[in-house]
Amino acid sequence: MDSRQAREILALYRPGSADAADPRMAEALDQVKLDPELAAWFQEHCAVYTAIRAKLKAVPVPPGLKREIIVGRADHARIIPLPGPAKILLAAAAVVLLTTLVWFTFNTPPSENTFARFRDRMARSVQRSNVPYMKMYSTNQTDVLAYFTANQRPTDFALSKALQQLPAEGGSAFTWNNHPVEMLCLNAGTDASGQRNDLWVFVMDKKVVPDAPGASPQFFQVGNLMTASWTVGDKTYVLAARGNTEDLKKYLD
Amino acid sequence: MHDGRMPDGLDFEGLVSRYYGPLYQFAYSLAGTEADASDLTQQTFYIWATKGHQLRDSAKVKTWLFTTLHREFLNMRRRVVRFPHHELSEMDHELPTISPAMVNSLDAAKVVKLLGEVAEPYQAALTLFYLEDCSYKEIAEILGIPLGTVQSRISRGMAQLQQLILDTAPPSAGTSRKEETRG
Repeated sequence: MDSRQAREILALYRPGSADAADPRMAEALDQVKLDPELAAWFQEHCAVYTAIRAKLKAVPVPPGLKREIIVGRADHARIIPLPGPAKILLAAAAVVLLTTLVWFTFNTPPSENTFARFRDRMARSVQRSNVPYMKMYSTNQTDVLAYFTANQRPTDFALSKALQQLPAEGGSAFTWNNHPVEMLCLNAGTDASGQRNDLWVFVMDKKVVPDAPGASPQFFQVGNLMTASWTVGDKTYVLAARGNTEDLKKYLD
Repeated sequence: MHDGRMPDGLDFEGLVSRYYGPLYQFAYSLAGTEADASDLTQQTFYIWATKGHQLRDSAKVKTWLFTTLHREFLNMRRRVVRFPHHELSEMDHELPTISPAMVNSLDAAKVVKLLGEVAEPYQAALTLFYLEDCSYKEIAEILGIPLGTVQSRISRGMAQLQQLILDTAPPSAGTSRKEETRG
């Protein structure tokens, strides 16, 4: 092995790792002892590796992330498994979903703020039951709206009468890609199996997601949640809940 | 629901404590935003909680988590944009010589941003190379590519990253050895 070959191999060497155990790496390291120029290069290579690694390791982890993961998992544990026939329906829905996803893959514009991404993110966060997303709790929608006002958020939501009449669970004002989002959680009672039936309404400025649906609601399954999305005035709405299209339609009239 | 208990006594919370930081940093290096990185990290543990019991070899937990996060990242990106295919000439992966001072002149966010500018096929391998104490074999398993391809992607990615650092670092941050030897 000459110095040039040794340098090529040692370019992949990471100080402090188990890389030195590799026989080719070990042979290249032996070459370092014989060649002062190679040794100088190797010393610099290790220093640069260590400096870059230190920079990447310095990226701060959000302080609340660990709690969100653990709480989300605990909530998920309470989800009741679906019975057999529902699984068949789910498989059929998956085929439809797959077809839709393929369509979206080839038709979605190359932007970070696509509506599909916003809707999926919101629905997935609910699916994981991220309780920390709920920043205030109240059974009164007026309290939730007051919370939005206190946080300099809009409250002129164009919600259906059916949604306005439901008791609240709570709400949250947060951001998505640095854009404000308001989330209103509503209590729709329990379903036939006794499972709690919460509805989540996410509100976003329509300018942020220009490819959002229009006034007529569009339905889309995200994981185990059905979503309905529409735009009224300057706001785009995403309603997410367990159930099917017909279940959600009841709240949109 | 998967208990998530490992032979070394780690329950789900212990598993999260051990891996959520490295997973987040891996996700951040790939996705470039806190929101996406947090979402990818949460989604990875969510999948672990529902499917982790299928993993037979507990020694592979770390690889499994990183593989899952990377797969979720690719799924997320596919919905937004199809990446152009980058092909570099052989000469492109000759390492530019930079100094530690050049790296240290940049803050962590800038280095992550530059990592995000490296051609997409090389990013994940390069991130694991720098961030994680994974063997090359483990990186190959995480990314689902042959060992030789891992090494090639790291070499090329490293060359791109170091060139980006060379182009970005202030001149006062230090000279490259090429320049030194020229003098």
